[in-house]
Amino acid sequence: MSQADLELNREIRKVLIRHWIDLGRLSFRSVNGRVWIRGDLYRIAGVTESLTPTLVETIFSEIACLKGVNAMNIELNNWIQTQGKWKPLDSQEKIGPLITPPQPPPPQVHDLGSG
Amino acid sequence: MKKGMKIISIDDEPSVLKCLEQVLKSHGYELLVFSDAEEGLKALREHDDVGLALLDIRMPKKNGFEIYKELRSFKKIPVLFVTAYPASFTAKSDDLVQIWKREFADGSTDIIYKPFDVSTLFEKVEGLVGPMED
Repeated sequence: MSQADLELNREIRKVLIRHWIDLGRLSFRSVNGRVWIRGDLYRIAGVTESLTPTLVETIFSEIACLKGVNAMNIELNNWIQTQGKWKPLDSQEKIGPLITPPQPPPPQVHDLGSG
Repeated sequence: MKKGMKIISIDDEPSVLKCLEQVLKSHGYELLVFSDAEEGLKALREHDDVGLALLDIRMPKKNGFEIYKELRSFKKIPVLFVTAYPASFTAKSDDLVQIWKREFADGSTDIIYKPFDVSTLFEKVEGLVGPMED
C-alpha cells in the first residue's frame, strides 16, 4: 500500500462521512488505485433521509471520481447492482425465500398405560 | 516510517486490550494499552511518535468521544473507534453530529464494531496508517 493509497483511503472516508455512512459496517482498502469495498451500507442511526438507489449511485460515483481511483470492486451484503442500478436487498432476499419444505407430522405418542 | 509504529489503545475491557495487543504486536506494531482514560491521554500527550489511537467509547470516567475531542486538541493522528455499541454513532446526538462534521470529515477516523474478526481489524488499521514494512 503506497502513500497514494493511504491518501485515497482518506478521501474515500471523507465521501462516506459526508453521506453519514456508518463506517463500522463497511470495510474498504485501496491498492494501486483499485478500491475494494465490502460490508453493509447503512447510514448511522438518526439520519432522517434513508439511502436510496440514487444516493448509493451518487456515493460510489463520487468515490470512482476520486483522483487515483482506477477500478472499484464493491461487494455489499444489503445492496446489489443489477443492470447498472443499485437495489436494496432485504434480509429475506439475502437468506432466500422463507419457504420451508413440508414437514412430516410429529410422531404420535400412544399412552400404552398399564393395561 | 511504519516499522514498529506505536499505537495507543484505551479500553476498559482487559480482554479486548489483551487481544489487540497480541494481534497487533504479532504484525510488528508496538502497542501501548491503557484501561484508564486519563492515563491513556497522558501517554498520547507524552509520546510524539504515536501513529494511531484505538479508542473504546463506553468507559467509566471519560467516554471515547471526550477522549477523542481532547486528543484532537493537541494531536492530529488517525483514530479507530473500537466499540460494541453501534448506537453510539447517532445523528440524534448533537455532540456526535458536531464531531462528525468537524472532526470525522477530515477522513482520518474510522470505526470497528466488536466483536470483530482479525482481518477486518487489519484492514481498518492498515487503511488508516498503512501496512507494516517487512
